[in-house]
Amino acid sequence: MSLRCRRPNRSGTVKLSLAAVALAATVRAQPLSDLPATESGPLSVAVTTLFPGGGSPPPESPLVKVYQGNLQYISEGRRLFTWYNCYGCHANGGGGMGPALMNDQWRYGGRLDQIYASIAQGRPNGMPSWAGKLPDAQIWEIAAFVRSLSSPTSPNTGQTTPTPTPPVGVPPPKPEAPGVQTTPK
Amino acid sequence: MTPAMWRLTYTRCAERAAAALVTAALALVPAIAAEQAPAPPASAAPKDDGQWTMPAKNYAATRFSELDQINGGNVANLRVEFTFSTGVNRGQEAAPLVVNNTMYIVTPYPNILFALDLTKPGAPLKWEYQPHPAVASQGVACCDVVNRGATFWDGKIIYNTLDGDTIAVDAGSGEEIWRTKLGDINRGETITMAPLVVKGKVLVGNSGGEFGVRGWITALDANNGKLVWKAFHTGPDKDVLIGSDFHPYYDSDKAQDLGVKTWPPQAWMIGGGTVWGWIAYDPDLNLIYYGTGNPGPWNQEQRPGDNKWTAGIFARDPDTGAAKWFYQTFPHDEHDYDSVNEIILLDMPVDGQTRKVLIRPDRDGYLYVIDRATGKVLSADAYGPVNSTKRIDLKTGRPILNPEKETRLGQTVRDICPTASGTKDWEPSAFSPRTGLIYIPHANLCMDWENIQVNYISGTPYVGANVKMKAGPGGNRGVLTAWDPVKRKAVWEDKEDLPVWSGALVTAGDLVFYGTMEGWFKAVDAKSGELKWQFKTGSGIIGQPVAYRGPDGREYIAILSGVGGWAGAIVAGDLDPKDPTAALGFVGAVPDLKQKTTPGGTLYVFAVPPS
Repeated sequence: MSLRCRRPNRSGTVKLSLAAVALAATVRAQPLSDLPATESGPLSVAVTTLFPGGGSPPPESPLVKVYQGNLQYISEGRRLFTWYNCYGCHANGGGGMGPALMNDQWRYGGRLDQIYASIAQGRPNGMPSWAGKLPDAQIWEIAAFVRSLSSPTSPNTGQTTPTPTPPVGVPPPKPEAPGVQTTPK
Repeated sequence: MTPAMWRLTYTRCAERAAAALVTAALALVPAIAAEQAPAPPASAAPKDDGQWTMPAKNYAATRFSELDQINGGNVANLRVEFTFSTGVNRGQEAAPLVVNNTMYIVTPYPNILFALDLTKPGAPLKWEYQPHPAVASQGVACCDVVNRGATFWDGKIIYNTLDGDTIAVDAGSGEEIWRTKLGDINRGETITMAPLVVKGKVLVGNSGGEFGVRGWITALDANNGKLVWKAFHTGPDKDVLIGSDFHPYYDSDKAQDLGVKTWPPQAWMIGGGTVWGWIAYDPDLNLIYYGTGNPGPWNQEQRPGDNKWTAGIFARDPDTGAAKWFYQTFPHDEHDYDSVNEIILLDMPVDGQTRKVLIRPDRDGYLYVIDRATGKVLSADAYGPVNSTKRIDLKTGRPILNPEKETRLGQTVRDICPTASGTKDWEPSAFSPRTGLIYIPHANLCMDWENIQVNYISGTPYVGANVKMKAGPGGNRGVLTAWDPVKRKAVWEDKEDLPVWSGALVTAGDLVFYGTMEGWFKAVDAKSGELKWQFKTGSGIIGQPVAYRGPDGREYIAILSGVGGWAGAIVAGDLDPKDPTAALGFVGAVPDLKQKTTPGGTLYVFAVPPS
């Protein structure tokens, strides 16, 4: 089994973290063209809805039907989303350094193969390109998870805007020494 | 005692004697009171010339203007004189500069530099300079694509770009003089801080503490941008510029290569300790002071050890970069308590003796008073609710942790105060020698925190925590606190609904200016905190107010309006309020911000109409 197919495990140590550096370095060397043809992505998807002279988006990749809504792939995609630090920018779908993924607003298209393409190619405002760094199947799994964040079946949709979390009601513990703990009056 | 030191001491004594004599002659207050008033060292806070040439106003970082035309008696008449749209609707954190009747503004990414002609009605644009930073740099900026401003030196406006360049632009013509590449976005490095120029050297540090970068500060020759020295904040002593001149006060900093030994093997290479905040300079001691950022990753269980030299304060020789002392505000930080906040230099009485101190209102919730010659902590008092630590042990300098609030893998620890963003974050305080008070803009927030295992992949976030912030005790998420550093207590507090993310300005008119994230720009009485005037700008304010004397001799107050930064990322980045972990947990504290303000990027300049 080549390193690119190795599944990350959950046991957490510093040693593992440093091993992941090596993992990342190794997968980087894997060119996309070496992947099986069936796993090659639709890197020619349109990211616009304008087609001069008429026309329509290119046909959907046949792999969309394989991955979209598949709970096993979505579950795996959720784990990889954390594993490859996607959550560091996109949080749990609400966004941060990167845009929100749970509001069904898609700058570069929300079709599953368009999401796949955004992850594989990267996007100019700061989305890194993961093509050749992750196995193709993992990109599809992450895309399936991302798509699910705002799909009609997602538990995240249909909510109203939340009210702020109630403030911390319990005053901080009494100071051990005068003037060093609570807000001085 | 060297002759130079003798002269210095003699001059000081003479000055003090003269001051006491004048005071005694006036017979208004006891002579001792004059001696005890805290004040910045004169060498670091020269007489105000009515300009504003660096974000902190002076090397002592007082943000105090000696202008007093606008005061409590006429501030009600303050009105807009002119505005200017930057065309960039992201968080506006920069301080406008005013030099030779020209105003200079730096925008967030794409870091455009505008020059406005103050001698003409409406302050028309003189020129603009576009550095065209790498577009992708936006994706490795942790907390909005902010820039904290430029600095003026010898005919040049010098500032940094998000993608890691330092640039000098001719202040008269807008032509680029030099440009030096310092950061690499593919390693997660950006630059957001405002540089400081000391003795012809441009001091710059990197950002990227959430990306596993290795933090550094560097000095460039202000004339040509060439590297003079560079000091890292992790790794072997030779990289940190720790040598025979290094004399830290506390024992825990006194061993060889602690920047390696206080980390798991090789973890120091990706350990953080960035410099994205403020630098102060004492010309008498010839020392610069600045802080280092959080260790990476946030998940503390992946980096056992003190993690030197992150989350602490360095004193260095600006000529060589050689470290003189270091104090670690937070050894082995567990809560993202960067130590990069502003440092204000004051000479003030401590236990009856005048001491040269630095004041640091820190992320961890304590206001530190530190002997700036030695690095000894003289006091550390909480200026907001704190439960992550019990107190600062003044014998060792170390915080006493509250074990209930230590962070754990796979366990959500609730109601930790303060948050990762701290009792205060980057937003700088001001000090008035007239009131002796420090005006601290800050937040009142707490958080839930869960450590998660994180892998290092260069150019991607290296965080390892799920954080959800919320309002602190009382429910008001922001405060402006007036703090007496001698009596070590708050004198008054102005509470705000939203975190106060703007800097503060205090003037000799005894007014404190600051902005709110709803967009109110306020003037309050420096002695009482009473609201004297307010104006609603177009967007939330997270910028740095400044005061200057215009070509017509009038006093003006300037502020950039435009919400964003870490606190305003939900609006600036259009994030989803349904996810409280968004923006590294800050969205949890301000899910209502989109109902209170919208993005913007506009300069507002105010004055009292001529009578």
